[in-house]
Amino acid sequence: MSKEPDILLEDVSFVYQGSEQPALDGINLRIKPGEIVMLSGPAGAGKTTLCQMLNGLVPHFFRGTMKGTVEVQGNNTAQHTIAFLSHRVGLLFQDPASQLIAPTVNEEIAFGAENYGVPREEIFERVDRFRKLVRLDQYAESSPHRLSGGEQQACGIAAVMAMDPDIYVLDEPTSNLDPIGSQRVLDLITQMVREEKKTMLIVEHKMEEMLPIVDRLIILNEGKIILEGTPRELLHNVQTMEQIGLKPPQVALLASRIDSNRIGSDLPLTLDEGIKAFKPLLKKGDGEPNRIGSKKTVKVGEEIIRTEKLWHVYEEGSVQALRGVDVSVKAGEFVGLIGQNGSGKTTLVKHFNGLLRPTYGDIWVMGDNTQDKTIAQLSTQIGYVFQNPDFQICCQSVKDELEFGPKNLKLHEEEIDRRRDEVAEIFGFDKRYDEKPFSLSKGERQQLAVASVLAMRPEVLIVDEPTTGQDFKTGKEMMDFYRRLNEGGKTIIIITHDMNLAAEYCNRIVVLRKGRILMDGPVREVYSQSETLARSFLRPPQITRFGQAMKDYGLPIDALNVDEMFDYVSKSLGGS
Amino acid sequence: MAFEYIPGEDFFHRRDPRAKIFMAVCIVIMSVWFNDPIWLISLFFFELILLRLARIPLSKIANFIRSIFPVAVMYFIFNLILPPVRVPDPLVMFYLVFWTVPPILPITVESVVWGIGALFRFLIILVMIRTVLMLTPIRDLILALVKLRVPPEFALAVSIGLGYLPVLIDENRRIKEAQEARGWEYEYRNPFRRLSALLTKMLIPSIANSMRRTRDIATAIESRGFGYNLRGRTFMHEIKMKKGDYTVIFVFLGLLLGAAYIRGIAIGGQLIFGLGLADFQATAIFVRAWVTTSAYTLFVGWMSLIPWNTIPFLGLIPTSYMHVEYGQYLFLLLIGFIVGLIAGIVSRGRAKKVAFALNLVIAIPLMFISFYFIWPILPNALPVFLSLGWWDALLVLNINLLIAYFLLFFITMLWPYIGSVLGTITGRFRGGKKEFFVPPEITNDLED
Repeated sequence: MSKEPDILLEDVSFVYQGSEQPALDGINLRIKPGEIVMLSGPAGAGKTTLCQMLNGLVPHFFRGTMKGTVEVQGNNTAQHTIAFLSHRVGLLFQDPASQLIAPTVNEEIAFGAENYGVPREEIFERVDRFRKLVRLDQYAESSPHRLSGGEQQACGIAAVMAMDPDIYVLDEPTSNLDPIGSQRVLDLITQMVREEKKTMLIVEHKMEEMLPIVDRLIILNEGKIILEGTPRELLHNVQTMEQIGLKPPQVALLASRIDSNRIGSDLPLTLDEGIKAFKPLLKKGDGEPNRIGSKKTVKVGEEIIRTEKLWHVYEEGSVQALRGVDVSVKAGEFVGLIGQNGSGKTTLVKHFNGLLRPTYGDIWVMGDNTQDKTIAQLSTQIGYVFQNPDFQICCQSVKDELEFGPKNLKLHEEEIDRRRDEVAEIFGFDKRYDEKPFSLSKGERQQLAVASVLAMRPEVLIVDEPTTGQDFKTGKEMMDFYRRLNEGGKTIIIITHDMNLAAEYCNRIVVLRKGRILMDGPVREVYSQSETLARSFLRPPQITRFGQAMKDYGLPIDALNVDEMFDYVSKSLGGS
Repeated sequence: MAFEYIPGEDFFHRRDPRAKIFMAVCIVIMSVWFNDPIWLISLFFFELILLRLARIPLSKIANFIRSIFPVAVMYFIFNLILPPVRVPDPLVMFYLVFWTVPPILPITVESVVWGIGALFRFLIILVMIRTVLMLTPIRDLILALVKLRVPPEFALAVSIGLGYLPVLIDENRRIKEAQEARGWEYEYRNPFRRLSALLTKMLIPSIANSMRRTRDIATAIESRGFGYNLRGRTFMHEIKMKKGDYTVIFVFLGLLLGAAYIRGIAIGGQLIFGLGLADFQATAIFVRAWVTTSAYTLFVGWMSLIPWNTIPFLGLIPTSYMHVEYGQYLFLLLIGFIVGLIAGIVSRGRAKKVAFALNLVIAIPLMFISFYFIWPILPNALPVFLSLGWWDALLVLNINLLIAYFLLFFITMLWPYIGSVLGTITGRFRGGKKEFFVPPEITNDLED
């Protein structure tokens, strides 16, 4: 008899209450004990619904119409409580902060085990063991909310492990984390996979890191499984994956575009495999590394923001967040501000519009020292779009929200109307003035937040994490919109962790590290220096690193995307 | 932080949370029994001695009193105007509304004495609660609640709420910044309108976020097996009553009985038990006596050399309604001076001290304004609220109560803002403490 599957979904469909679109549609899935399965797909594909189905949150907590059967170790989830199922299925959520509920790390880890009536001695033993495993010993008695994002998620992992489930379900554990935080969590997951030998379902987008350790990959789109198989089998569909907004390994993408007679039938899964696959195909170059260099020059205007010896020390704990930053932004630039959490990115931009004042040093905005200006005055020059639109939206209707800024500026009524109509038109809000902002979708709320900032007509637009929490399509639309604004003459500054995003849109990169500027220059120049970037726990896109590893073979060290690299590779192949 | 546990290993720290709660309850009951300012002030000092014994730095308490002081003053003024106890034949000092016939809202010597007592009762109760929180980790309090037969669901809701306080504070800072970044500012010329705007602009995002957060917490708790077997749930930490705990309970029970004897019970003005002390009327009689002594009259004689009726405003008051003797004015001035002095001591920085005066005027209307603005939002929030299960509703309630607490906290924190606004007007405080910061030399530390 073959072993009973740990997870079994038979023809499962689910429609949320109040929605017409099925979140899941005819899903069949079997996961064997000990199997490690990666689930991927664009936002809105139904990944979270599937995860929450496994411990009964769907349909017991999030209600709707469910068809088909879901079985966890032979238990039909429709007939068991969430508490019963959670004993078998440990679920880790995407947002680390919202799942931490105890006053200290120790109690957080113990909470699940306490609920299941595990004896006290055993709980102490588990808390010690898992807290050590996730390296949070020094925070045993501190509040989990005081930890950094990566540490919070590590605490969440320990809390799930302490429940000793047979099946782990991890729902995008790294998507809210900075590079160093997500590296830490991915390391922990890898370690769990190796040591625990338990069944695991991971929802992830970081294919480059995850593919080498998973047994099976499942791609979900619009509620259906569209691809399923071992990572190697699925790599032949990299182009399908890319079309629906996933990010397959770039070396695989590159290889998939080359005649399969030359590259072999197996596409490279990792950077190392890519290097191995391409080396025999290419000729050694003349030693000088190739550079693509900037083709088009960016038209920059006058200096718009300048800081001089900028220091900021937070009063609490006297943290030196900025330590002598000298930076100058010119009109028409598209600047990407990158660096790990706590490197001072947000602190720096908050000085531009006066939300923070320098402890030492000066900032000039359009020639005036910000010292003499209020936040309100600066807000007409510097627009700031916050990461979470829900913190910003404060009015009862779309119309009021768009008028909020201009009204604060005490403009004439006709001028307020003109600006409101102007920005409303961009995103099609002009027909929806009376709608309540909180009934809009998340993507629309983001657009509303941006529109209401644009109504101030700022010269510079600062966007904090422009694509986090958005699906691929709306994220791309927003970024293209910023690009058009930039081409129309506006200066754009984005704060991001996404190196690919920065590569695609920015023409200048500023890297911060521990409150100082580590690197500042055109994007190609910055990305070509992988070693310096690594000091800020950042790394350029895989394709750039591929070029750097193959620089002796005539490939460029500053390629930003697969297309650029393909030009070189095909030229080189054509010549041979 | 408002719910900060200060670790310690002394006698009071090591007590069982139930003993600590009993201690606090005894002191709170005593403070309610007594209404004489002299006894209440003594009780307050007794409390400070307890704090000292528990090795809690008095500076922490000073900071706490500083943060609740505006509310305490509001409470004082409220008691001054409308003392809940009626006294036969009070000595009226003056009328707040003196221009009507007859004048209304009298301020009497008795109401001032009562008000001072009420102020200290307020401080005793809040400092006591704060002390228990500083002596006890929240975890132990929750355990005590569970042992005292509070349902674990409720205990957990309290625990989560407290754990979320830092998150809420951070969230409110972000909300404020997001509005400020769109040119929103406090307008000083019309503080009432601006403050009401502040409340609405903060409340809408806050309520929206707390709804979302409630759902997140509920899923997180469910996914960790809460409610699997509530009776059979284990608690990692346990609490146990020891000899010292019984000693504390015994001692405070004794103090409570002693207080009961001192206060006494009277029926129809006839004392049937105890001593009948610690009543504010005794002190009021003493103050009245002082106000009418010969030394006092001498003083008033000196005061009467001042031609009061030529002073603008005062001269306008029809003398027939001016039930005020100059000495009683003096007494009032003294009270004002003491309140001002305490305010001066507890607030830091010159701008804040100026702001204090402004805030006294602002604080009371603020209370009414906040009510006025919460009502219209309720119809929107109510259907959502009703659609939640009782467990989620409990969480929402708990979190919204915390938001209400936070708003109170926030109002207190307005002081520095108004201070800096005043600073902006004079242009003296701009640029912060720039001149005091000397950046350290940075040797090239990018290599570390």
